[in-house]
Amino acid sequence: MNKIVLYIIVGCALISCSSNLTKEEYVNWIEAPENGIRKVKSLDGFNYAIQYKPVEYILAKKNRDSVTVEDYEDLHYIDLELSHKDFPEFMKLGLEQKEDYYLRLKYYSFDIQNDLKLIDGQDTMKCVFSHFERTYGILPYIKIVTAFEKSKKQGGDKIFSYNDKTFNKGIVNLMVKDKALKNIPDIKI
Amino acid sequence: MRLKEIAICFLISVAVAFSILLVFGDSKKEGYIDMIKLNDQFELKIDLQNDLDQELKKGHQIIDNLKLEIQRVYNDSLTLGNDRFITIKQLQTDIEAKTYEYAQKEQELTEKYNAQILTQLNEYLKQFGEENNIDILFGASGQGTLLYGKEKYDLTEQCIAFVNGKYKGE
Repeated sequence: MNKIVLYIIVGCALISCSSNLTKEEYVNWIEAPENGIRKVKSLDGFNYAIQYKPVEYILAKKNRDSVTVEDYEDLHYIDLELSHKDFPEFMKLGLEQKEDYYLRLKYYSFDIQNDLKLIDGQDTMKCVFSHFERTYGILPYIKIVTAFEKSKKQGGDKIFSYNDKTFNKGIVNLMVKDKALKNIPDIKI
Repeated sequence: MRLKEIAICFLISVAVAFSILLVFGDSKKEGYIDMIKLNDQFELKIDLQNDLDQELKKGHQIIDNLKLEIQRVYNDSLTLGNDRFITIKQLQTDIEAKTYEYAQKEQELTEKYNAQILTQLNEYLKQFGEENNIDILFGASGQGTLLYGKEKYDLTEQCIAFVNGKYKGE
């Protein structure tokens, strides 16, 4: 009888170990839209995509031993990607004059922070950090790395809200459900 | 004999099933939406309306302050002399300028917000049709575009829930 119990315990342990993902599998899982951690919305040809970045994901992507969980656990990190289905050079889309390009550059580099917020459960959190990653037209989208303070109340859906004033599309919300966050598998250490 | 009966029953069943498929298989799914209700309950519209109200409130406050200032200067002029009427005239010009400025701002914002609402609503309505396999969706706006529709074709509530869910980013 004792042997049977032992076999069950060992069996369960093996199953649980096998559900842990390798670093590469984990990154792929987080980036797969069907898992709900990456969300995409299209409006009038414009694509808005967010990638919620759990701490383990950031560490896995950085691939460095010098960074720890503690370095990132105080904030929510979310990447915002903007693109248009017909225009690969997003930064030059619909420009009327040359100066507008620099105004747009300034906006995405600094001012966009004021148009971003995160509804974390019941609380609305301001964007505390934003960084425009320059790709110089190599990629068909632009990326803005953002960070938000965490609500004191843990849990709840996260709604990333961007007020797109540049292309006048209004408030664009993208929701990462709490259920999806709780479903994130473990990563093999 | 028994086998023959079974075979006949089977053939009849197949024929009936085939007929049902022919009649209902290609049936169109249609519906209509009360556009006024949808517009009123679309959460982006509610959010933008709040923004607009805040902006207008700021404008009204500035104009009200100028009106109070006129009253104060007018009261002073009664005791201090008529030279204060020049200030009153200037203040009246300021009020007119501010009123015009805020009326223009209201119009600009309304147009801007309407465009935003229309863009998002069109996108979500398209998705609503696609995800619910709807062939034709009518919009009732009380202007005679849809004269009558049975209640079973009214998809307004379902559509409002869908559209607001999409707006929230679900």
